[in-house]
Amino acid sequence: MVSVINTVDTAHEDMIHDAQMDYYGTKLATCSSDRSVKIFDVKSGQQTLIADLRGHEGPVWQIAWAHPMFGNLLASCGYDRKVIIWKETNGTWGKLYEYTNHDSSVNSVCWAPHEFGLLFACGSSDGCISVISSTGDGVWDSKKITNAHTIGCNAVSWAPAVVPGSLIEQSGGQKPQLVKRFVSGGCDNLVKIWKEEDDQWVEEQKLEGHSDWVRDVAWAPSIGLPKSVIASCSQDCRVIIWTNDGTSSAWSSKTLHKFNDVIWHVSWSITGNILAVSGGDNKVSLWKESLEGQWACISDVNKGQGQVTEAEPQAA
Amino acid sequence: MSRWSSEYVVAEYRDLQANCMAVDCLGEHAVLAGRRVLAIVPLDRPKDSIKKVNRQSKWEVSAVQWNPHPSHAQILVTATNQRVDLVAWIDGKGVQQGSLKAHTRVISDLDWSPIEASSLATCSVDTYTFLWDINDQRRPIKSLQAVSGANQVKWNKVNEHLLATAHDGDIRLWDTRDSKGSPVQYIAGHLQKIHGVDWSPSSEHHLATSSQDSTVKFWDVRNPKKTEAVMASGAPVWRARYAPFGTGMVTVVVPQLRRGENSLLLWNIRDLKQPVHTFVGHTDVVLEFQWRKHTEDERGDYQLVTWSRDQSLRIWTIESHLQKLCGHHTQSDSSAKDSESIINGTTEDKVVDGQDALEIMDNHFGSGKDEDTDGGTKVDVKKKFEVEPVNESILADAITPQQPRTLQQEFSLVNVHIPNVTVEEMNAERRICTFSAVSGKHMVRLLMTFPLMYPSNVAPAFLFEDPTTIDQDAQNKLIKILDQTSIQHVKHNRSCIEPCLRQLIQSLDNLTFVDRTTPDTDMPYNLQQPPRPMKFLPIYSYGSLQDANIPFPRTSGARFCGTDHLVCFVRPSHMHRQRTSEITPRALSALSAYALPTQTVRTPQSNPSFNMMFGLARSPPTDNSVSISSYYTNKDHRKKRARSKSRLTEQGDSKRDQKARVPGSPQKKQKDKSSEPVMIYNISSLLPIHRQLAENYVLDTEDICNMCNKNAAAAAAVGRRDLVQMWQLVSLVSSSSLVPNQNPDSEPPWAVSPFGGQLIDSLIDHYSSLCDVQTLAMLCCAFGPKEDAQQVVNLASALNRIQRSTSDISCANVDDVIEVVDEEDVMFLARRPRKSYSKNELADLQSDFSYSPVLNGWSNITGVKARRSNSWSEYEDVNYKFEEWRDPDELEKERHECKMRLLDPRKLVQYDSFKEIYGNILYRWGLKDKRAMVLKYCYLEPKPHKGLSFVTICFYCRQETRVGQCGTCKNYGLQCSICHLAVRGCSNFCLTCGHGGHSSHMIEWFRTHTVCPTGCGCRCLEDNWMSPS
Repeated sequence: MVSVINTVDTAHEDMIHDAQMDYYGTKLATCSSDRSVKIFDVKSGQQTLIADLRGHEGPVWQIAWAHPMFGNLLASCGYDRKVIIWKETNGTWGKLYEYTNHDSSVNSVCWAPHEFGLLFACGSSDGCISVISSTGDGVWDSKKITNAHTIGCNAVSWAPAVVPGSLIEQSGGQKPQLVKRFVSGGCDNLVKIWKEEDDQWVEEQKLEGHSDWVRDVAWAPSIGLPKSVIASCSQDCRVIIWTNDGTSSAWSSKTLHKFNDVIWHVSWSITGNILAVSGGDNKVSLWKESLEGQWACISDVNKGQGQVTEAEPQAA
Repeated sequence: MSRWSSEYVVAEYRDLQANCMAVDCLGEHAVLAGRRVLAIVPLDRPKDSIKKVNRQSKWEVSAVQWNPHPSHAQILVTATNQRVDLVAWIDGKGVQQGSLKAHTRVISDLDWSPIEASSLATCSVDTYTFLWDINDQRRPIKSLQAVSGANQVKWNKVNEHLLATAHDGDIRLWDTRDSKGSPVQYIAGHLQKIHGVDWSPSSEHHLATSSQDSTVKFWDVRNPKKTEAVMASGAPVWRARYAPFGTGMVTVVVPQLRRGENSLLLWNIRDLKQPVHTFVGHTDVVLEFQWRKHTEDERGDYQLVTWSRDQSLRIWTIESHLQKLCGHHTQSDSSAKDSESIINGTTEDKVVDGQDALEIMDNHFGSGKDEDTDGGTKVDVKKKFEVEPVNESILADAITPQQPRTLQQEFSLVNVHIPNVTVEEMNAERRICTFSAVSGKHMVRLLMTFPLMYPSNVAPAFLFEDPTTIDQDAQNKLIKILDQTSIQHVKHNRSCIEPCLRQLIQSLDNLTFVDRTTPDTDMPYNLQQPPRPMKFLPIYSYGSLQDANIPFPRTSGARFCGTDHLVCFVRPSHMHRQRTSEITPRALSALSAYALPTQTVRTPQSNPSFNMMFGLARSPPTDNSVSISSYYTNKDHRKKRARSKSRLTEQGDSKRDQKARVPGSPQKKQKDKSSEPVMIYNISSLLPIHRQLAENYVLDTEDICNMCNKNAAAAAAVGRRDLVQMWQLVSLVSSSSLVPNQNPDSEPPWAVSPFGGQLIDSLIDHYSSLCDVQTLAMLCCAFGPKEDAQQVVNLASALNRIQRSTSDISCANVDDVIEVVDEEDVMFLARRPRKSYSKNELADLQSDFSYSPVLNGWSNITGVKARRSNSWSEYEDVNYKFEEWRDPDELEKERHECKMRLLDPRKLVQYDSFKEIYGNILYRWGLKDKRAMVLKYCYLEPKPHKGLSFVTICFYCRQETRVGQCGTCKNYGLQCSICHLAVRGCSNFCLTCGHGGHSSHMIEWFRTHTVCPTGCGCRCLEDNWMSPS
């Protein structure tokens, strides 16, 4: 069923903290405590190191690929309080922009949907979230949400560029106006939804449910349905799925599962129906919602062995 | 300000690894508490044998305190994780007196009441502060809850009912008599975390807070809004406590560069500009300090007992002149005598004349961190020395504060286990030593010669001996670097052998790095070596104060990427967690414990105060930087290291290079194992969408039936039987025999039957819940309206209005001509059951009210000719202006059209977004043609282009136009400069002169010319040249 198509030996000198493939699934970027970001060509099963990007002065926590309409752009953030945007020009990778306006480790970086242009958000342990945009002319404009999360912000994730509520509404002839939104999670145990209103970022919603630091948030990709779904995971070992039906501003929460160890990361599949969950126990599990609305574990990617084992035959 | 060392006694306890210290109220004992041991140090003879009580707990001690009442002086409490233990120290033995268990998270601080001997307060990150009577250990007598955890708790020293707790940047004051259990006072003290709180020893209302924001603030708690005074220290302040004499205050600051020196300062709070005294001696951060009243000293000298991360206990005497500087007047008048007694305590066999000493003092000042000590103060100090000649001998002490006193001593203390360095000879008598170091293919042999004055501002000499393999240039470079390093150290009278060796191996690595042009054999790819980070750049290593806020790094993760990939990374399988029963710590500060030279000490998890201490008490970065790996490996660290070492030697030099490149960091020793391969899985089988389907699906709305059959076959090929069934079903729905008749008078169209529109609707619902955007998009493309987008939109808005208006005009009295519109009547019925209309009436009512108001909204767009109807004017009062009326025949046709649709036009936006999202997925798959096919069926216009766009100015009427034909004069706006005909197809125009024309003409012209064909003189080719970038 699930098959390993590539095993990339990154030769990082220390622990890897993030790995992500680009839009087409042909390049793999990894980042590590060894302060480097590496990019591999993984097209058709090969693994060629394209670039070893040095520029961070501390461990690199997260990376993010921009949409290819902006060229090959990679953002990375790390302990050294920096966000670096790397760009490929004529086959060589170099630093395009460096954002250094945070006072503590930058824990998360995420590009906005391409419909909004070249725009990313980053969350830092200084409690602030920065939203940085560029028109592509080398000028970068940043807006800072100060004290977005007391103690620190651990994760940011953009909402897909659809207007959930208005899908049913008629808006005559033209596409409805898109609203920029993203979700963030932090050390105040909260998940917050932010919305751009008149060029200002305002807190639209505060979701309370976790009892310890929120470690990651992920806004599910939209397939065109009016509902919005967010997954959040926390130090309290739980994963919560937050759902908004698109007609009201209320979000309902449902605990996916209580795990045995801290959950670090959640990731949605492109169709938004499978959630990959990983955490401190070094294991990955995939979860799928049944037609009845129950979440079930459909497989365990047993990390240590690098094997994917089917947990139970799939219901539904 | 004075800065000489006045330490009285130094005792090192390297093996204890204690992180807490407390002095008892009688001044007899100090307790040093660590994870492994509780050691009682007799303060009168600290160098003598100490008594140890083994603990072997897996938790560090987060706080320890002796009972401050002489009657209970033998009792001490220790806080370990969530528990407080009471121990009585009787006759040199520790007797367990019970334990207090109530906290649910790690205890951060505790405090004995200075007034009530059996009262103890404990605070924890679990947000509770408990008050205990130690005679009743079952439960706390009172609990105080705040919204956030406290890191400090302190009883008021005058009022027995009052206590203060520190929560991040705030202070809460509690009164034990208050039954509400809420704080009686709240002080929003600092913008950053408060590390320490201390009540004034004399006033009930005054307290001092020390904070991460580099200030100490003084408060009168009756007026929490106003800060009484602020002391700016220039570095985060770990503790600030009132001295027991005068208006003195002792602070521990955390130097930002973590040099570890000058962190202990004595101030007079009447003059906060600069400290009164700096206690020089500790080589690392001071973890704890407490006062001891020297009992046998008649003059009442105070002694300060300090415990530092350098694992040494120091006792400092506060001479009476210092006390005087703090506004304290003792009965003693002879400060000289005081000083002499100190000299006796620190007898030095080395003799240095005063002149040298002064120079050294100058150096100290020059390199000192305190920027506010300008030249003026230096002079002051010198003057002071002249006035008080007796201090010269104290100065002698400053020269060799804490360092090994002799070369022999230093040799014996040098850590010879520096990777790739071997000690060949150490001869203290000849004052030389020889080392050899290996890096890459190179080997060097270094001879260090130590002058007699070393290390008092005199650096050793360096010489490379045979068989050194690096060339002369490199040797010179290295010697220069070594000279610099050594001078930096001896300037502060510190020994420099070890730093020099580390510097040597590092620089050697840098130098020989260029030699390693051939890639290492185990690298599967061929590339030039990436540039190394410069060794002298400031490298961010763990250990900053904010680590407590930074989440513990993820070392494993899985991320869906592209369309059908799952990328997983893990920590290497050999790196095991030590205690699998516990959850992973939340903050990065948990790692700080591994910054210790030895890898055995661990920290209790999520204990902010403790982590803070170890966090800030790091030695300079790059030396032994900690990594996340340390958290996992340390269990079988030694074993692993040994194994990898043996393998390394077998594999020879290339391997060794990698290892040597980054000396000192533990994880590098197992470089080949410190990252596990990243796995990429293909999870397409788990997804509802399928690439092969995307490739094979056809879109042909001319012959939907055929298309469905083809698609069914495609679905069968990939084994999606549900889709086969679905396509077969919809193929039946769209069969040619069911094609609706355009005549409204014929039978009702198939779409209104349950197996028409409803079937499609339920299919869409089903595949929506499966998130199968592929099928959804295909269905929407196949059954979407075929006409112009605008019409559909209008139709949709019409339908919307129908719904609204029908539900609104409930009071309408209707008896007119009306027909059924569409299936909406069913909904209408359902929604309004309270109306007792007959089916016919209802239908009538609906269609009439539906269409008329609708026209208002969209007639202007459609441009349908309509006449005003007077008959509807009576409905004005229900807010509907039925201004327009249409031919019933046309209306009927419209309605019929609506009925023929299989897809609800009102959900157009949603259907379009299915197509768009599916289009994006196709794009990711690289199926761009397919994407174009799908997107062709989108009805909504994309948002108007916002960026740069070209506007042409009409050749004839000079109006702006965006299309070929001018909107004003209807002429074709562009004219070819060559053939003078209107241009409709491809065109090229010069941006400078505005001339141009048919592309073919232009290409031809400019093949031979560079100027504009009109003869306007514009050099079009050059002026329009744009750089390729």
